[in-house]
Amino acid sequence: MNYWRSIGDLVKGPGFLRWAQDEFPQMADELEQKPDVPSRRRFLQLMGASLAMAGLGVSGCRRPEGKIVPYNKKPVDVVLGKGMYYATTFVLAGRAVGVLAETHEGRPTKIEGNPLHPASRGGTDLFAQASVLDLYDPDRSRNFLTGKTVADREAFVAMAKSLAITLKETNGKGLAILSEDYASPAVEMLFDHIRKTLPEAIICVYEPTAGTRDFAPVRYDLSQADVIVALDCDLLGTEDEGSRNKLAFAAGRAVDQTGKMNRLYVVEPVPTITGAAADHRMRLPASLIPALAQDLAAAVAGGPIGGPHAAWIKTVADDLIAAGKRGLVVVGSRQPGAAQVAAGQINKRIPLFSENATISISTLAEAIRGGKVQTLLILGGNPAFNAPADLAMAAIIRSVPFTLRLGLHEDETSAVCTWHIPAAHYLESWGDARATDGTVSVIQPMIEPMFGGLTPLELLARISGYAKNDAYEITRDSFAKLTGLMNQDAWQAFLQEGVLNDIKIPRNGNATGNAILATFNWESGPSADKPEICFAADASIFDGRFANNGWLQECPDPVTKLTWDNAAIVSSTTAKYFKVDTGDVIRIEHDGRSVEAPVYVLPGVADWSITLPLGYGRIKGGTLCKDTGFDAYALRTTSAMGFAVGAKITPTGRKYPLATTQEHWAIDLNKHFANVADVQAKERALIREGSADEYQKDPGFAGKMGEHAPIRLNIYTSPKLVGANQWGMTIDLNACVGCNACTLACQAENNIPIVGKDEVIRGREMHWLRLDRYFSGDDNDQVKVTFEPMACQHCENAPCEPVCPVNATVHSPEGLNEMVYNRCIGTRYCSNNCPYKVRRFNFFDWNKGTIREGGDATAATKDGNIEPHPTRGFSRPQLMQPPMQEMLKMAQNPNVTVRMRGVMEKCTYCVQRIEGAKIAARSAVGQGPANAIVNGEPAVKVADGAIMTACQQVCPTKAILFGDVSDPASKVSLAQKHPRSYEVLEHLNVRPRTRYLAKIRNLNPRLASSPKEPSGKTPADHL
Amino acid sequence: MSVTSATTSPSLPDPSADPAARAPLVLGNKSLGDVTNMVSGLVENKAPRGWLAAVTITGLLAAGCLGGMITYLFATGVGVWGSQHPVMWQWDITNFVFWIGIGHAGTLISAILFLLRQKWRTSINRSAEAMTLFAVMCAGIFPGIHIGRWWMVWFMAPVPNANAIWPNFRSPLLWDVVAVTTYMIVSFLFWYVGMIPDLATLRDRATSKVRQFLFGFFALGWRGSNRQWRHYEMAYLILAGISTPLVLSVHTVVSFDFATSVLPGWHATIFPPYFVAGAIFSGFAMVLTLLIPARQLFGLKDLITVKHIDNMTKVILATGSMVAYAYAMEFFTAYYSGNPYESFVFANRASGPYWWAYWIMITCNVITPQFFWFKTIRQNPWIVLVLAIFVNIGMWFERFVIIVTSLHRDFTPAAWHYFTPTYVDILTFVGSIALFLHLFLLFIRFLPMIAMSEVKGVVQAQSLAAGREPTGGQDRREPEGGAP
Repeated sequence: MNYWRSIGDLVKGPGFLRWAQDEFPQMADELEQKPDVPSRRRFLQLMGASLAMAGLGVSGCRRPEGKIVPYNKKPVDVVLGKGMYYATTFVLAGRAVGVLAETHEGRPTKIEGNPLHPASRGGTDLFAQASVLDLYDPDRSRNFLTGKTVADREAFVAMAKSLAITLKETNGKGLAILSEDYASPAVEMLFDHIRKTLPEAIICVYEPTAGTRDFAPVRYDLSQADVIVALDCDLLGTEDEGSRNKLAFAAGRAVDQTGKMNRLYVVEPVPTITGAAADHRMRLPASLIPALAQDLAAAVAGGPIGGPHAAWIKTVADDLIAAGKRGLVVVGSRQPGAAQVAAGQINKRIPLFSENATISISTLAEAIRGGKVQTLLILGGNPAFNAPADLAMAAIIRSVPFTLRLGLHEDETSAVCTWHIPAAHYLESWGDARATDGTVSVIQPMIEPMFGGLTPLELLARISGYAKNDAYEITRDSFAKLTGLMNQDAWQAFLQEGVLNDIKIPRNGNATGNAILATFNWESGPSADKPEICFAADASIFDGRFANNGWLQECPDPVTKLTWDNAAIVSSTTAKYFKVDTGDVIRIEHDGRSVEAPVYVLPGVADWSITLPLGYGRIKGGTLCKDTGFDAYALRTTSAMGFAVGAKITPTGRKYPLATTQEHWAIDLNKHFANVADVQAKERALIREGSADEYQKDPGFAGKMGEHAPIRLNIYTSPKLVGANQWGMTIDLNACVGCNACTLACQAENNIPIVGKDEVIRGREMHWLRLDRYFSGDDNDQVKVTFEPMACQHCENAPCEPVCPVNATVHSPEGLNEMVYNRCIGTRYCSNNCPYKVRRFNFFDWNKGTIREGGDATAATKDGNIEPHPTRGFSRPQLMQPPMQEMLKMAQNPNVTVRMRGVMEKCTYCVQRIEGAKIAARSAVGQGPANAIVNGEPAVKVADGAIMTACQQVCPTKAILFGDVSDPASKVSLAQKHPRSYEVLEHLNVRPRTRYLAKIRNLNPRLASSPKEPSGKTPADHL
Repeated sequence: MSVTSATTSPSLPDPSADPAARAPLVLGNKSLGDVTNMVSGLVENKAPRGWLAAVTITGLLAAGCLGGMITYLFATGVGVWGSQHPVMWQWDITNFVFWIGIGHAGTLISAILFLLRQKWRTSINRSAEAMTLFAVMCAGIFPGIHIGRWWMVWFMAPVPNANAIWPNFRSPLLWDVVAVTTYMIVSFLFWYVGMIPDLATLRDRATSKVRQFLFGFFALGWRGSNRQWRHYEMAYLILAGISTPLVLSVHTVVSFDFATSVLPGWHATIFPPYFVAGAIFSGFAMVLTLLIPARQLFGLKDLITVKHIDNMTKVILATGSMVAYAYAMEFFTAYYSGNPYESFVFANRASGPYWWAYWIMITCNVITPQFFWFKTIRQNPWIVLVLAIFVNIGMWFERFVIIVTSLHRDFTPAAWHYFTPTYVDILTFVGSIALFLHLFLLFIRFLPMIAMSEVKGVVQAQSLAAGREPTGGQDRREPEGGAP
């Protein structure tokens, strides 16, 4: 661990313990008074001051305040421009992922995975990457509010004190706590404390995407499975815990290392990245998946089965039987208990009913309706928005006499509460978290709570009269309780490493139970008359909590490539039946509720199944979350948390523009999705994939696809590439699962701005690394989705270079295709001449402008007749406009230029990281002949693996390798010489430095040999 | 208008009498003095009513549309246009190539036809050259404003700068800068040198001090002496010699912007000749578009005769057929090369999302000129005007098709995107048309739009051939520059 440091190095003595007694009111004032955080200077002073104190060995991350001029004397260990890494934990819906936060002069700028944490192993998901932007969200809640009046902290403290006294007197009668799932042993400890001291209190934990899971979470290790059957389970996407499954799945497919590959069968209603990774995928409405699970269980048990898919199920069952203990069936959280139990029978591990110590949100709603709750404490979450619609949670919360809400934003829930308390972001908090396997990790602050926010620990402690009301001390109590370790060394080791790897304390869920399980049959599926609606966590904004995060709003859905909106995703058959196409607005009615949603026609969707991603259509909580998409929660009731059959669809005749980063070319509604782009992609062999058999027979099959390799001639005599290191990259398509983490990591690392919906419709999104999605297969049933991360290929014979009239893009002696921003005048010729189209242009001063409400999306769509609609335009900054918002400035990586209007930009191979490593290597060598300059370039070679690009570091499946291709022993050199490797568009003789490794699908010969895979059609399909 | 001759005859003499006989280039039995009076009169007499209205409207449009939109663009960013990923060039460069192409007729008429001793050029060369200059001015606007950081446009010039680097001489954009600047300078010199005797005429006829001074200043002391004529004609010949290769080089270099790239649909060796033919095609169409209304408005039918129109339509027919051949060859090479990228681009042009643009181009550029096989059509100025306007539209679409359809779907289908222009794109182009017309209208009123001295040579030759002494003047080399 030489690349990250911990405050454990710095923490000494009792000063450290003093840090949180005061909430640094001066800084809070500074930030609170002026909405746009105008005083950057003041902020830096404070940051500098706290770091200076750190340098004096006084404190830890979040340090006592001191009034010292910034860096009058450089603190030890602080090198300006060099990040310091501290371990902490990112928690999303009860899933904890250990991370390392990179901080610069006291402000966190980038999240990396903690290699020691089992849900990370160095990688993270896109949510963790984007979480740093949430910290600097200008719309974050800044004030204590009573109703709509701003209260001060003292008023809150007084209120909490009197509330605690009242509750103590009544044994907590009338108190209810509605909390999001923090997965925190410390929060659980406080809950236990409340149960003891306030026995009458009700505690409810609600996570909207936990779905219908009545069970203790089933833990599995995909790397140990040879045959995996995922039934309506996006186990590599929204149902993954950080990068745990992705990493394990890729490990099971590392055919070159292990000589074998797992085989993944996926049955799902709508393509997810898990379906894209599948070797065999069947589209099936979610409501038929329990029937399939039960049939599969029967087939594995050796019983006879019937139904429309008997042959397919039998084949899969045989595969599972052959795999024995190394066969695994996983079922998605939105599936009912029957499917879970059927899977458990196959896995020989019946899932356990969870005897939750907490109650469900329906029970809580009941209690409130029964007048049993006088005080409601809502910790995080957003129940007024995302609770089941039939509970009418907003009204219910409003009916409680006294409601107290802790939230990052003033959102829908805050609006119906009597008190709103700003929450501290996790990068500002003390706390702990537990991964599903029981690994405990620390949450430690990188920065002072900028708006004086509170952690749930502090709030709970104050209300419950816990002995300490300081999050740091509570965390230490929890640590002591978990480990029995009281000494400072153990604690410091915990802070430094971020995890307690030796001690695993799984969450309680150890109860047993039996349920009466319904039997499902094949008749319960949807049809044209009664289509099915499925609710899914959104791949970008999850359950809606990231709706105000611009990076995630603009992060294209991996499969649909939609940004800024959700849509009702349907198959072409369904669309044809209802006479609608992508962009047409339909009304969906179910159970007396209705929403209007634009249609998105996607190949590979089960017929008569309509998937509605959750989390959009927010009405409060920031400037970005409003007016994006529609609110699918409005249709989601306690009886239909996962899916429901029998919706009513009516086309409205209106249109709604959708912003996709990959254009949606006309899909022939008849039978084939004659998508010109995809057909072309196939012909052009941009993506090369083969079956495991093909690979075995001819390992070099990928090199034989596509156009002839060119004769390597060059009309110009290019300057010799004299650098000691020659940088190159490989991307293994067989490992890539298309999770978007690399796109977001690149955005965070390289200060890439967002542009808003209207500009995305114009094709002006700025992602340096995009994830190209191609479909293959002949029709809806055999659709295969493949992803290809595409960024600058750093061509040795780069076509962009000779065409630039001002030498703004040139080649470095180390083989980098470099962009010189201050030379660029913006002719955009380089982009026109780039065969990969990976260059991005600053059409406006993206960083100065803001994403506004309203826009002119109509101008950019081909077919007119679009109703006026709320949208997300980019407010175009004029010449003299002041620079970007102070708050957002803090999120910028200081080592990367923030680009201005009118210049081109693109992937640099993270040149700032390369240069950092080169400097480190030269410093390590010291002065002497080894450190000579040869041909104007340092002769020192950087050790293999010393540099990780942002995309490489974040990649949960380790699909990306970067290094010196001139070193024959480097990992990247070996990968580049791998038989599976190929250049995209090799025939152009541009000689890209990035090579791809072909994808392998481990086809089941019994399914592959049949001319057509089963249709997955429902009995109603003869329509 | 006092100068309009009553004897004007709109039709040509019946050629059946003597097939070898050439139609006269100046009608109405003009004397040398008549020519001077007619041409100078345009500058000296009261403007026709339509002129003032036209100048005002075009001026306001130029200021409002072009000026206004450029101001908005400069203040905000090129994103106000429809430019996008991957269509980074669109109307901006389309307009640039369109205007540069228009500029070709002028030099061709002045230089190449001069060297080939084509006498019919004399009536139209001055206005064609002026048109060239104005078209190049309009063209020059677009590369200047299309860049992302317009205040850095000087980086394109090979001057010492803060970055201590030269421009990249490998870049076709830099070749463009050189080619277009050269063309502009030489065209201006050619136009100006050719105008000196006529400026002297206007000076001598001037009735006000201001006119006398200004025309006198720009006439550079022209007295029409033998010696001056000798030098003048040598200079004119040399400039014609210099200009001739430029006619070919400018559009060749412009075509290199595309031909040297790797993009299918751009990367083609056929581009230089194809572009030059297209440029002459569009340039002649524009000359006709301007001169047919002008000869009507200013009563110049005797000087710009149906014979002139007829000749120009023949050039259009010839170059239009070359362009049609180039279109066909593009398809053939795409097919014959077996290159799937190339074949796709051409199939996509004709049947992809921009099929409408492609078929407008084919209709206007391939079908329209074929009407000029028919003499009745060639000799009906109003039909010719309509067809010429179609050619102009077609040639704008040709550039649009080449630029946009090649860019919008290239190598990587994931990056494909459909482009639509914004109102700023449209108004900027409208503004550039207005500026062009405005400048031309000003030119007609303030400078001799027909080369009097050269036309007089034709009149003299015509009279001598007819066995008559040219009347109304002694000699075209008279010291007073041809005043009666």
